[in-house]
Amino acid sequence: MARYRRLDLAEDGLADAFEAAARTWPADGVPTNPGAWLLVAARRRVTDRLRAEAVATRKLPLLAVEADLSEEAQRTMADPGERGGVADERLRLVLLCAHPSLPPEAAAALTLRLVLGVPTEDLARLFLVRTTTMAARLTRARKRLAGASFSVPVGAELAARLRIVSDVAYLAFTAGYAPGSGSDVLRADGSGEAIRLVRLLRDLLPAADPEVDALLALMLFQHSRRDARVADGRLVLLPDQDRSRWHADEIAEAVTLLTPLTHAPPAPYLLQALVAAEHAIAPTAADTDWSRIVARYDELLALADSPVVRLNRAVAVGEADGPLAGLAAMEGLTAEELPGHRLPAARAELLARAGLVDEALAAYDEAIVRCANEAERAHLEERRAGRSRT
Amino acid sequence: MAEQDHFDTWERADDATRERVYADFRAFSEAVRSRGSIVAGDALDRPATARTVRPGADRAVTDGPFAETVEQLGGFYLIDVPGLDAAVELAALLPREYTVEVRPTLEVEI
Repeated sequence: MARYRRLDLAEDGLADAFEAAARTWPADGVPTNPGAWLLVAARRRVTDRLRAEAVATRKLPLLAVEADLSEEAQRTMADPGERGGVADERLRLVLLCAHPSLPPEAAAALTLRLVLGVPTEDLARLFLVRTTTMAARLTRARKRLAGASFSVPVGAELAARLRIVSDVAYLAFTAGYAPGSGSDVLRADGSGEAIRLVRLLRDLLPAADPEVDALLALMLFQHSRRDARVADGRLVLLPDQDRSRWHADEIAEAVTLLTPLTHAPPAPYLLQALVAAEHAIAPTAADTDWSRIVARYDELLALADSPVVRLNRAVAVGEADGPLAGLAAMEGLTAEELPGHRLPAARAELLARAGLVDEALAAYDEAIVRCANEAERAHLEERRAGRSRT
Repeated sequence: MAEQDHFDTWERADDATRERVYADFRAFSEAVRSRGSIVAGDALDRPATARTVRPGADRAVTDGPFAETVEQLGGFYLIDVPGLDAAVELAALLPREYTVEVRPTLEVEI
């Protein structure tokens, strides 16, 4: 228990440091060495807290982590921007967290939580698990890292870790594009940060990588609609969006990235970007080429089948071939593999369009119950955990 | 939120600029038109018969920024009401075109 609390301080320290930077840098100017500033600020914050709790002399896992981070900070101060070319602080922190002793998705989750500040509940939805499950995974990952040594990779090891940066950026973007919690329809700052991360990654790569280019294109396409997706704080669906509020310059950049890749071999980010492009280039919703979208999803399924892909493909089939075809495409998808409301809600929509009103209402009820159940179960488990914590 | 001058930029963009952008879209569309036949010589299997290829051991199944479920079908409001039942009742008053999801928000301490 004490161990867990100490590791929590590290997160707070980093988070506070970023917050302080956001507050002071616009007025005071960005420091010469932003990375070192952040790490030293984080360390100072943690030390203050420890001092306040009068445990500074105890050897704890946090202190080992913190010592490595401050060592890194001192190296950064001495030698800025010359360490294998990874000068940007945020990217460096992402690479630090992509630790080889963690399974990649645990590393991704921890990075999203610590470096990009994605809330645990959002992470749970991204990984299609319950909040309590994600919390436990994060705790295990933190424990694995206690006592590990941290260093920014260079050379071949850097190349190996770059793929996890893409995956982290993809998930961070999704967390901003479709937040799993809270009152915001979208979080443009979060998605914008993910785009920035991918741009940095592209600059860092010695040669162009088609999947990284496709990932940037995918993000730009979906991000370009951010001002049209909300009106008076309310959600606006794709067919109802004012397309003049789409950021045409971002769409144009994405199209430029993607055009050389139109006949490239199937790859996950490429195929998703090609789908996203169909929405972006349609002058009106009615012009959307849903059949081509279905074809891209067919490729994606053949490459990497997943219930998420099947569900989204089913929506496209519903648009291309009618609601009954869409419902048929959803058959076999289960609540176990797609927790939450999204599956029954999609089913309900297609049932309603097919005129099957009673079934639609039952599906809507199920969607609501699914939410309520998740919320209640999380609440009950949290109370149980709260009791055993004392 | 929107950059200050975004709408002005597009409004100010002359017809030549816009036409170039649209031309890029058309070129892209033309380029992708023949993708299925060039990339995969044989017709793709129907998904129901396709072998299920699980993501590799190092790639978890995750959500992603798919517009079909997120923007084509819908989202949610956050409203402050004294309980789930009240929220569901209120949700029923929304226009029928809206796909409605009602869930309580929770603070979970991690």
